[in-house]
Amino acid sequence: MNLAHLGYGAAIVLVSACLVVVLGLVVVRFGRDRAERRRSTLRTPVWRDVLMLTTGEPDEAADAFSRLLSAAPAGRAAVQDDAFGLVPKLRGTARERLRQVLWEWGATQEAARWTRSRSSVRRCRGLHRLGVLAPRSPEPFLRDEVLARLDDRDFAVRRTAMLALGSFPEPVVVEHLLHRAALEPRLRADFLSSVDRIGAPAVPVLRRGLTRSLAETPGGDRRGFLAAEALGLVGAVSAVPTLEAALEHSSAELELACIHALGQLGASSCVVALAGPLGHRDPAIRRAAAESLGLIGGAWAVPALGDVVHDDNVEVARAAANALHRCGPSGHDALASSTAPVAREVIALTALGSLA
Amino acid sequence: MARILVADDDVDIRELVEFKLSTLGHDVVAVSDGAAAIDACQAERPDLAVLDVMMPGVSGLDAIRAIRSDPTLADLPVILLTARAQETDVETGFDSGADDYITKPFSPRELASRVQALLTRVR
Repeated sequence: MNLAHLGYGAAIVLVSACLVVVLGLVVVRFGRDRAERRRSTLRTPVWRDVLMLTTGEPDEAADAFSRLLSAAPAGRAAVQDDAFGLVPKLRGTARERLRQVLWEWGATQEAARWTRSRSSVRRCRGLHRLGVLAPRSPEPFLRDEVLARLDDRDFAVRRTAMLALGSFPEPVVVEHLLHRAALEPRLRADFLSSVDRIGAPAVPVLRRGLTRSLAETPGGDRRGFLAAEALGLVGAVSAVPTLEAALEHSSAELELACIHALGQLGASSCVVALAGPLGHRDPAIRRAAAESLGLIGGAWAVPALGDVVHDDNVEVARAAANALHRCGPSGHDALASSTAPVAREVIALTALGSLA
Repeated sequence: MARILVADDDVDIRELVEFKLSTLGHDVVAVSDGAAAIDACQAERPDLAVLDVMMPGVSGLDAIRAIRSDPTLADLPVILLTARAQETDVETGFDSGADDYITKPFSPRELASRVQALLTRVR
């Protein structure tokens, strides 16, 4: 055998290998296309019923509901992902009808199984689905499945669990959310998002969390900081006395969070609570108090801000002048009669249309 | 029956709105971005437009401004259907020239009622 024969043999092997690879790719592509066509055929009639269920008049929706309950498992499977994607985009009866169908299909039990899967992706999908279906899930074991995943080894799973728990408006859930978010700072935004969705049922737990934080740690800890932030976000006016009391014993970070929360609450009762921090020795706190009074606005905030436009710190004085501008006619009068340079600055900028 | 333009980059929403309005007997033209919405308004001359705000490329707000600046389309009724629910967002929407503003998540039946009411008013 000479060199030419060897080269010839190698070329044949190479060409054959290429042919096998190309043939394999064609088979895979053909199989995928076929599966996609089959899925599309199965999906079309069931998806049409989903659309009728969510958009139709009551009698049309009732008919679609019956058809969906008797849909073949393959048809259900073909629309289930899309149906879960659609639920959060709807509200009212459309949302409830779709949730009910998914519930009747047994999607909750499947999602609960997924939360115990070895795959973190599947655990996330299961948690997301339990969050979507939560208001139709009276069984505490489902809530406990999601709560248990707050301690999952995978961050994405912990995060998805935190977001899903926003659909479970129960005090015990808020306790766990606050605890986990205090341990893991990067979950802060997800914690706030979930507590915002839970709303009023979270308030007693958050108030208790803030009070305990101050009682157990001098100046408060991260749990107190998160509780104060969440109280402002939820709009809990009943929390004003708790936030006001917290101002007296807090670290600077917690005090800023309480001041910001009082501003977000926007109640006239917050003005009295914010008058104290206007005289604080730390300019950052004086400035935050002035900004929060500006958020509250209204004539009742004007007397508290009148003197602060003369503050030694120009940033504090400017925040007070901007806050007065937000207080309506009485604030504008106070600016006009003030001799402070920042008051004239705000009036001039307003005239130039630079302020909203 | 009216010709209605629906512009939304979310295929679920587009499909849902298109389905609901079609079952009411309207002729629906669906597109996925603001530039296509402007083109479709000029080509199809719809009786009403339902626009999302946050779309790739040209936003819904920019599309309304373009529609309002075209003398032949200036009177086109426009409903904004958007996830932006802050007070300032609603103000901006109306300032841009929207006739109605609906926030997501939304009720398809409520949207249909608003479409009907707006069509009745302008006819």
